[in-house]
Amino acid sequence: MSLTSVVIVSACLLIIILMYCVTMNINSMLSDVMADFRIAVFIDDRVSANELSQLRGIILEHPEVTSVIYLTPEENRDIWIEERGINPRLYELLGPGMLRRRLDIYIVSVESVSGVAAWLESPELRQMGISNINHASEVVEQLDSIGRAINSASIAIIAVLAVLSVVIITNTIRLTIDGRKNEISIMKYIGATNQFIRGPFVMEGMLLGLTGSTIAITLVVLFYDGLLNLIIDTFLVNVPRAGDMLVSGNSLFPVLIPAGLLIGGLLGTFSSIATIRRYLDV
Amino acid sequence: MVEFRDATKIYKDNGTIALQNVNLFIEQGEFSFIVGHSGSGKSTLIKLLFREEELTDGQIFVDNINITKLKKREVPYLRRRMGIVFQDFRLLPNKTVYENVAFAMEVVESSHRQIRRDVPMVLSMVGLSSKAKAYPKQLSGGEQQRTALARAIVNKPPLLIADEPTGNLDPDTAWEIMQVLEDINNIGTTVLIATHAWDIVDNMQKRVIRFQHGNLVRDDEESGYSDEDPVY
Repeated sequence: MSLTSVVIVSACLLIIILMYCVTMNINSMLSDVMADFRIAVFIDDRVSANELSQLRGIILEHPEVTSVIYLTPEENRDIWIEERGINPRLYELLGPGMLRRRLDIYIVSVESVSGVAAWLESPELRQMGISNINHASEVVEQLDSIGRAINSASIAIIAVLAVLSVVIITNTIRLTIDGRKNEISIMKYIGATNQFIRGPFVMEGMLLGLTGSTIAITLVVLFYDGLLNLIIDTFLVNVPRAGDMLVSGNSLFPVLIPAGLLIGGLLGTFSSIATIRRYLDV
Repeated sequence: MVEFRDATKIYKDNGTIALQNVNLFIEQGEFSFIVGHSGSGKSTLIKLLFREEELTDGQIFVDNINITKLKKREVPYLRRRMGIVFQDFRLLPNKTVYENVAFAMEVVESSHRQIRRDVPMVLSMVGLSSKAKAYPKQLSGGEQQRTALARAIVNKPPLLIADEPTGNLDPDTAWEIMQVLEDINNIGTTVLIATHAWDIVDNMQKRVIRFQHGNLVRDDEESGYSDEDPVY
């Protein structure tokens, strides 16, 4: 097991692990956006408390609605100030007239947004006091599609990288085995079984994979959180709660470390089994 | 011990007939030479015995086992019943004489105790006790071939086959190797040697089996290389 083989295998596995980290973070950001998604329904000032309660009941009965939360104009204002960072003085300047009561409608999934929004805009519900609806369904549906596309692309890229790693590891192990071709043929002539010959090479392949993945994982563990902070500070300064949306090392590593070691070990093992086969036919 | 029945070998890649309807019987404990010019089929016969090559037609028996019917995974167990010696010694360069011989025992999963007991014994038999710690490159050709012989017999196989074992050695050393082979034969091992070395064959006066263009043309007890005998 030469230093070059270890470096090559580590580099391959590092790329796979980084790809996995990128995918996990993009998914986490999209999930965060999706989880917070709601249809905001603004209520006409003339609607009485009783009528509002009745309207809320009707909306709740819709099969694709999971909950409906009522917000007073003041609560509505506080959310805007807190979540969107809008200057409180703006509300003071515009006066209390602009503040309305609001129902936040949470739905089963983003796929339902268009259907529920169309239903809320129906004349019957409009007559019951709905003055305005805010849902940005197109953006949400696009985000959902982007999320799915990123997932599919990531799986494909990771699969291609895994195949490339197998090819590289196979070639690396082949170089090692080539140097011991004579030894293998002598072993065959003196009656060694394929299993006996294969054993040390498979062990070496597995160790190569495990060493490579240990180095790759160590690098990721050492630098992941620092890199994440650098990305937040450089590219996501204006994104509220960016730190919460991304996956921290503490959440990622309990899965990444055992999975990375397992993948490294398996890649090394299968690559050596595939490589040694051609040398056993003596 | 060894029997060829109507054995024919044709190489698929170039259609060469290496052996044609060969019938041959070698008794347990015999010492025989296989002789013939290059391309006569003697090396093919050796390769067929340890299943590096497979017959096109016919049968070969080793120790009453029909080796033509063996599955690939059974071949290592056939090879454990014979010692094989090559012209180019085929020693592991990074192992000492002791380790090269011990390796043959490790391959058949002998215990460390057995290895510690048998390897020095075999090295003493081939006259290499003082070279146990030497590496192949530190040995003369004769000493390397003695190491290969020690490796071939350490697992006490009933059959020893050698393909041109003296081909890389000077006449004196070649003769010493033949003496070692005779000693091995004297302890009951069947010895079968493919060779070009007519002087050795003449001096040994053992059974001579001659091949020509893949045909067995002569088979004589206690004969010499160039004796004129009836052609089969």
